[in-house]
Amino acid sequence: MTTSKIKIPEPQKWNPSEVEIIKEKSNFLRGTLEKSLDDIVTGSIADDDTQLIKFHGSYQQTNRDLDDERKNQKLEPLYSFMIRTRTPAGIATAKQWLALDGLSDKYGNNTLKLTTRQAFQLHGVIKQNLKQTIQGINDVLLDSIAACGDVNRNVMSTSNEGLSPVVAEIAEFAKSISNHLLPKTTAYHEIWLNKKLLAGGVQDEEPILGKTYLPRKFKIAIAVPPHNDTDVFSNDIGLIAVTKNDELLGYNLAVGGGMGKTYGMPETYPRLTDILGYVPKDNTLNVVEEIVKIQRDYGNREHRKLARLKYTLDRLGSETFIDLLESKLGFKLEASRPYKFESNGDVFGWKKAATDKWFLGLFVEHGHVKDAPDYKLKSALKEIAKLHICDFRLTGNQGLVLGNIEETDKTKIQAVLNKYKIADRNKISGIRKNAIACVALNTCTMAFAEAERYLPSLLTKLERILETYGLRNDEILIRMTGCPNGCGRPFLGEIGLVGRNPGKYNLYLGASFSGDQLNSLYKEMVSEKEILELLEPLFKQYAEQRNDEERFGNFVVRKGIVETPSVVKAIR
Amino acid sequence: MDVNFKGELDEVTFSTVELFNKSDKSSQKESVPIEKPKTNQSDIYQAEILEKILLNGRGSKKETYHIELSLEDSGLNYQPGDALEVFAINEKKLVNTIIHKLNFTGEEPIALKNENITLTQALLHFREITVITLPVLKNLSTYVDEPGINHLLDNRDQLSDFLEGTDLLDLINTYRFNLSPQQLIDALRPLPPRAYSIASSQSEVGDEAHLTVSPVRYNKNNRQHNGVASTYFADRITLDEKIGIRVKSNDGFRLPEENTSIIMIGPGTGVAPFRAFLQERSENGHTGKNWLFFGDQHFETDFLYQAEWLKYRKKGILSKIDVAFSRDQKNKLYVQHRLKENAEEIYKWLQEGAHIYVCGDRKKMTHDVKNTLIEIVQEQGGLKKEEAEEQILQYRKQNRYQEDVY
Repeated sequence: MTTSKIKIPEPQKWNPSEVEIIKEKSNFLRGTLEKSLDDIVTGSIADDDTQLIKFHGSYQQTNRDLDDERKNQKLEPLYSFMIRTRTPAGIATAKQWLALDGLSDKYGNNTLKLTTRQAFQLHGVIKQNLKQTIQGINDVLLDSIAACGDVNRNVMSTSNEGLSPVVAEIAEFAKSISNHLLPKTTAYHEIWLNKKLLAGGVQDEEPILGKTYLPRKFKIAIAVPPHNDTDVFSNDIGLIAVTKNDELLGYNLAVGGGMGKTYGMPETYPRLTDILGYVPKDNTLNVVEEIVKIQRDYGNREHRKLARLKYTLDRLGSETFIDLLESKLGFKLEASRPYKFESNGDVFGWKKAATDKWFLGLFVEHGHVKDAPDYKLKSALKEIAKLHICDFRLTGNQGLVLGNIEETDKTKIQAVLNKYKIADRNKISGIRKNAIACVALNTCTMAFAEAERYLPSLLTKLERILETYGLRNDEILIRMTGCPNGCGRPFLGEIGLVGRNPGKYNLYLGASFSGDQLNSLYKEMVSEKEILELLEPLFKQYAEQRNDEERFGNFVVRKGIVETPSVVKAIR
Repeated sequence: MDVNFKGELDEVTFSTVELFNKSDKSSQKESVPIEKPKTNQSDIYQAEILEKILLNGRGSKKETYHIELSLEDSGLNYQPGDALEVFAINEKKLVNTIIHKLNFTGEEPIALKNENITLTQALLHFREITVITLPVLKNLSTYVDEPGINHLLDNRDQLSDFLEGTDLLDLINTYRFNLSPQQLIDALRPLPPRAYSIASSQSEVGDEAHLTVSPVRYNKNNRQHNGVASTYFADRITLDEKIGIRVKSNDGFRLPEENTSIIMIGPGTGVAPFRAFLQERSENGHTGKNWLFFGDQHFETDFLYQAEWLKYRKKGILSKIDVAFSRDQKNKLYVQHRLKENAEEIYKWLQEGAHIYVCGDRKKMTHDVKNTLIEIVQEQGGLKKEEAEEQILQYRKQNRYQEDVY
């Protein structure tokens, strides 16, 4: 094969941003964390350390509802920390579930949050309990390393083995990727686990990530068609499993997705991946590593808002990117194989896996596991965990799958669910089933408006309208976030609501139901009243004029109600 | 008669005049301004309440108020370490209950020095009713028929227990009094002012004075008892209202030379004058180092003025700050524990000439703090206990150890 002279661009020299300097000075993510943890005069950590603690899986937060009041009282904000686990493919054992449940009661705010990236979050941990909490997590062989920060985040993968015979293999691959790309620094063990792993004088090394780690967060997800419950196209790297006769052959490689944008900065935008080709499974880890390294070397280290891989990809251009990648790999990517996704929602109910074990998909509203007076979900799941007859698999939709259940144990689990009257999925409305809301207020520092605390009540109002038009059981994908960072992947919602100010949102419409088409802006700065007034006629129109099996998102695009949004492009 | 009475003649007159000029509490929009020349330090000045902030965070079991008073046009001056005497008004509910129990109406005329006022006004403004002293008890006993009260007066131990936390209503509920309104007023002692360490420096706040006040509330005989001035601030006064105050100089609690270091020990409301110290030192560019020891119940809600200390620490004005929150862990931690932990450094500062200041509730801590300091000097200096005690005494004589306890 003749190779024409391909021009591979050199990495640019950047004027490092403030965060880059903090990382550089931090001695592989140590900073002054130890000192900050010992400072009992404040519940916060030093400013620079707030950037570094992310790499350790934690965020400093405040109780925002009390910020003003405490300021008047000459008190500092009420600081607390969020801790997020690293749980590739969202898989946890019953023992791990129980440990986290216990930690949430002992050190957290009595709830567990199941995130949109299949990780657990504990909220409300005060500084002086951080070490104990992380140690508690570590005691059950979990950790929080690289759950946040400029690193490869929690690797997502479908984990309901009832959906496809290759799920077990791809979930295992997710773990491999996670481990392979994990920061090697021993800072985590030193600071939190009191273990000094390095002999005197020996320095930490980061062969893949580099001393200042990646320019920005990096997200990888795996999915096996027809289920796109991990929203692969919204990730930096999406791996679409290609199978033949129930055997995993390899992956279609999707690169350059990312949800976030900043209001008032048109250079920022949500983007779906380009499909760059196909890779046989044995080469995939290598390909993933090379892409990470390209991002490490070429990603923008000057402007954090332009640092995600999607901007690197657009700056270089997809063709150049492929050339660059292939030159690193030493081989060419094959053409992508055909695939079809049908839904990016969760699958509820009992499913039997190829192993003859059973998997049960449960609905958890916005991933919030707690005990309400009339709905004790947390206690129910704790009781199930205590039986030690299943594992716990978080989904990409903030849901939960109980996995690896023996046929003979099904009734035991069902009995607990019945005892606590855990919602029968059939009774949940179509719009509520797949709804995603990020945490937003009270704790997220980025939130402009409510999400998790508000969406349930909005859905109740929408349900009434949908009921009127006979749409109660139609699955419509709605996603709400408190800000445009997009942790709740709002730009992939058939209805997307992105917070602008308290009580005001931008309304987006028209994504597909399978995560391969973004939505478009319909109206800015709408209040609840306007949301209801705007959606009602659209629901009516949809009920009356849709084609058979046509989804709401595709309907509004077809009818020209919104601009034609962007879709996934296949380059190879 | 009560010895104090004479000394407060002026107060009575002044206050009475103020009283009649002040509109009724229910329509407290404005009082007729009195044209006066610059206030003498011995006159009572009617200071407007500019700010009243509850310093304890939501969920706290404590109640501490930050009060800002206006000294505008008073011409009054104070120094860090000084106190304000506050002339409070009694609780209306308590006064009415007392009047009712004695079968009075409250409208009965009372002659008080040169004025004629009602019984209600007399009890509200001019008489101590929340604290019963021995002389007052003796005065009142002449109006009680029962022998019990005389037995009580004869028994010293029983007496002091009885008087602890007892107010006038407790007495009335215990014994049957047979007296006229005038006799009642004559038997009671004048309402004395309460002194609060000033929590500000005029270098920073100009013609204002700030106070840190924690209402005294306790339960006795199945009834809530309230400290008169502290709950006056907490419950009965609002912004824009005025309260009578007077500056009380305290030469026993003064900042040292500007390049001398200081160690301040002030748990709870004892931290008030140290706020004044730091404001003064900050505004005037003192180079001496400053070290604060503070303690209270819970870090999250009771760290009085936390945001200000953090600001001073960031600026380098507060060189060190050590805190102890007694109820945040199983074992009770107090400032004296922090002192012990820092024994070496404290001793070093003392060797360098630092001054020590202790301010706070006498009952709660001064004893332990003093003993801890003696222990530190003993240990670090390799001294015998008596020698260490002598050392602290020397510091006292040199004005290097100063106390403001209440």
